[in-house]
Amino acid sequence: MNDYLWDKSGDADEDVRQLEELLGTLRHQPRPLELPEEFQTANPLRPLRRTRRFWPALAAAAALLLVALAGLRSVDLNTGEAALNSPESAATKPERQQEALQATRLAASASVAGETSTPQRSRDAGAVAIAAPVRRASTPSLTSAHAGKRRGRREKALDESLALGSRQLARGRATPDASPKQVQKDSVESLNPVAAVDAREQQFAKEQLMLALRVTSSKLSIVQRKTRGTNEVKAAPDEQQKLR
Amino acid sequence: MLEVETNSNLLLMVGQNRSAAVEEPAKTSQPSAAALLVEAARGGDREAFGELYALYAAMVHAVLLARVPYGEVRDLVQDVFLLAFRKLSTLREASAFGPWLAMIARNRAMDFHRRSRETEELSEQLSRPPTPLAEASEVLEVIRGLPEAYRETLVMRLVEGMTGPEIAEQTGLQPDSVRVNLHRGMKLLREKLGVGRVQG
Repeated sequence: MNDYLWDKSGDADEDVRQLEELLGTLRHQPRPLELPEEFQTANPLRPLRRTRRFWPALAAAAALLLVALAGLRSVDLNTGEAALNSPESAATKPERQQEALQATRLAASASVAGETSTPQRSRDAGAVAIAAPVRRASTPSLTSAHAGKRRGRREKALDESLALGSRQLARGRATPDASPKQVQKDSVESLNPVAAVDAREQQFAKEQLMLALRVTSSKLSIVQRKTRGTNEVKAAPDEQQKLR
Repeated sequence: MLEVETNSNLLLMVGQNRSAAVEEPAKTSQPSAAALLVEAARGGDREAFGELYALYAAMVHAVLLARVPYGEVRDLVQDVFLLAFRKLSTLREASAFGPWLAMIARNRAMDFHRRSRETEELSEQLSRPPTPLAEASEVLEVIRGLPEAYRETLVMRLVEGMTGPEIAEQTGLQPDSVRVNLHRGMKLLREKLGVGRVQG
């Protein structure tokens, strides 16, 4: 078998040789390659790999954040429910109320002074309810400014509740024209002002949690858009308004 | 540094023994040398990329010549290598540099036709070489009319003077496929040209 066409070995095929001579005039004429100086040979794959490595870490961080926030929320809700549903918290004995009021004042003053290291617990019914706000005051997700504002609101709400509870205790009954549910709520608030404060704290913590979740979600979506190469990083107007 | 010097030495050996290596279809030194050159070029060694250019320019020229007018090929070869240099980091396997480069050349040829669709006839006419090359250009046009599988292989063999093993090595095709393409393509070319014309 003639292998001249394959590897130029053996007898030369005349047709092939003539075609080689004829078409050889079109052969590539080597000339130096002109590489522009501005071309960087740094590995552009690195940013891609960095991005790819960045995604699992980002996802893990987001998951941890969400789990932590959800856990914080569940702790808040459970504590609040325990305080509201506890049969002892609805006790009507004046002695218990006085002890609870004293414990509340102690807890509030400790909270204002920043003594948040040890949750205050006691065997009394009211102490269970007041221990939670003290513990929540040490929530690390809040900044010091937020914590200060929160303490102020807390003190104010506490004073209002105490004043209301004292007035209703003095009257000895609930408002006659109120609905049964309102009466129950008022009685709970009046009889256990700490529970009322705790409910407001819960509401406030819930709002903070929802805001944090919205901020996290928005930031994640922005990062996702940027990593996809989309330059149109536009948060939804309502999201931006919420963020502001 | 030592690795780069070793690569250069390997490449020099490859360049000096190119004709001798043709006789060894199963040679393995050139792919490894090319892969080392690719790695060096990835690290910023411009000379290594220049060596790659010297090794693969003929193949790229053939791939382009099988598709675009002769007068355009020279600049397009430069374009292909500049593009390859810029995207070298996206090449996953250094040993696949040849097939990857051929793919870039094919895409560049398609892009050329897409962009110059309106002026294709004019560019063909302007790029037609003068009389000494006229006959070669006519034969080349016949080769371009062959099926794509035979076109590139015949141009590499008949125009660039590459052997079958070299074609297989640089394009990543199986040697048997190259052999089949060469023989079938040559048969078709003979039929289209006629033996008398080639001989006369």
